[in-house]
Amino acid sequence: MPEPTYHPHTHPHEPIKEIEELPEHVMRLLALGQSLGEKGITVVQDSRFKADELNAKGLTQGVPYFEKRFMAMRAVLSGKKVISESEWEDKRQYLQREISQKGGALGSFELGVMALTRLILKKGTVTQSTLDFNYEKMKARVPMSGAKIVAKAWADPAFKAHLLNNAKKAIMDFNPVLLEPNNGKTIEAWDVTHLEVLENTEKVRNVVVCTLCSCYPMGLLGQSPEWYTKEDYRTRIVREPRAVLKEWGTQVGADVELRVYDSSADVRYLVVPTRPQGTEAHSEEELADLVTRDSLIGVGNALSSYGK
Amino acid sequence: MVDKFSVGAMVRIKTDNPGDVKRVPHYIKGKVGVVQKFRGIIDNPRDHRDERPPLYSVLFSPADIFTEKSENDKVVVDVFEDWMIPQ
Repeated sequence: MPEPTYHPHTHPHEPIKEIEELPEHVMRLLALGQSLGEKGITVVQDSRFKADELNAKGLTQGVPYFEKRFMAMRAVLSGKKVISESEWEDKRQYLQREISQKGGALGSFELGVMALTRLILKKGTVTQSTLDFNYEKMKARVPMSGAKIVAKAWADPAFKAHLLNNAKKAIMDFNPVLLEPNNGKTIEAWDVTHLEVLENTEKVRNVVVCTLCSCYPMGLLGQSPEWYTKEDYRTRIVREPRAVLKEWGTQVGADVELRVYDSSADVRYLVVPTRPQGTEAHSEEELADLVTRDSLIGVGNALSSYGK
Repeated sequence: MVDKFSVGAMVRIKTDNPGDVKRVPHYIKGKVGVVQKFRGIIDNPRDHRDERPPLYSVLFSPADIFTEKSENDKVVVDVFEDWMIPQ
């Protein structure tokens, strides 16, 4: 099946408040991945290699992003003999019959996640309470956290200076909830990766990408938008950043230095966009509403007004 | 922990992988950049199982890397020490 025609940037720089939440079953999947990771069963690296492998075999062509991740997770689990693919398939069919007997219906991805979760719970690999804990944690990771940090940086120069110098420390001092939504009981990748905050000025614009995979400051911005994970963005933004931004309606003056930061497993970046003019009297809350997700990645600007 | 390369030093990125699974983007292999920052060793057990060398933030000019003319653009990549050769 050919990959569907894809436009890398389908959203017109939507404000943080208007970003849709991910579906319940995707959150459940992320919570499951997180819980398995804490047990040391699936580290991110394993899933990444597995995803590359599936991709090289052409098995994930045209498959949506989270379903690809789901395939990679199952491949890691069967590779480690935690569950087999046929066990999972049986469980999925069983659930499908059960649900349709009750007159219900679920999509196959949703059913698949449910089946895998049930199997993992039944085997006792992870517990329901761990799963619930991580589900809440995933749900608490929203791009509004990043917007609040930017609003604070706009309003408070001392905070901004601290943020640019030592981002995680500055955020911990400001509002630790933003960094660790559930006061994490366990260490995970996000807790140990370096976070660097980059300030846009009249002279410099910063843009973030991950050319090797899709590293993203998810603790502060939630899950990445789909275009961020696509080949098109990842290859072009380092080669011709100005052309990409122009296509997306973001003009960058010839006198502005454009810096593209290539994230990795160990370092994540967050951009502080320039503060819109005429917002001197805004409260921090009003300022946060002006921030767009795209502006936190550097490909867009903050809005000059919101609501009113 | 001592940094082998100081900030401002010119470094060339190796073309062949000096380790097993440590990755760098293809587009900087064999290219010259300038060290921006020393990040030290990052212990990240949730992401990778192996111990890794110190990490540096290195600045490149796309004009040197790609054929496109983009003199006012920069690319910043975090590179492991064992990928770097003094220039």
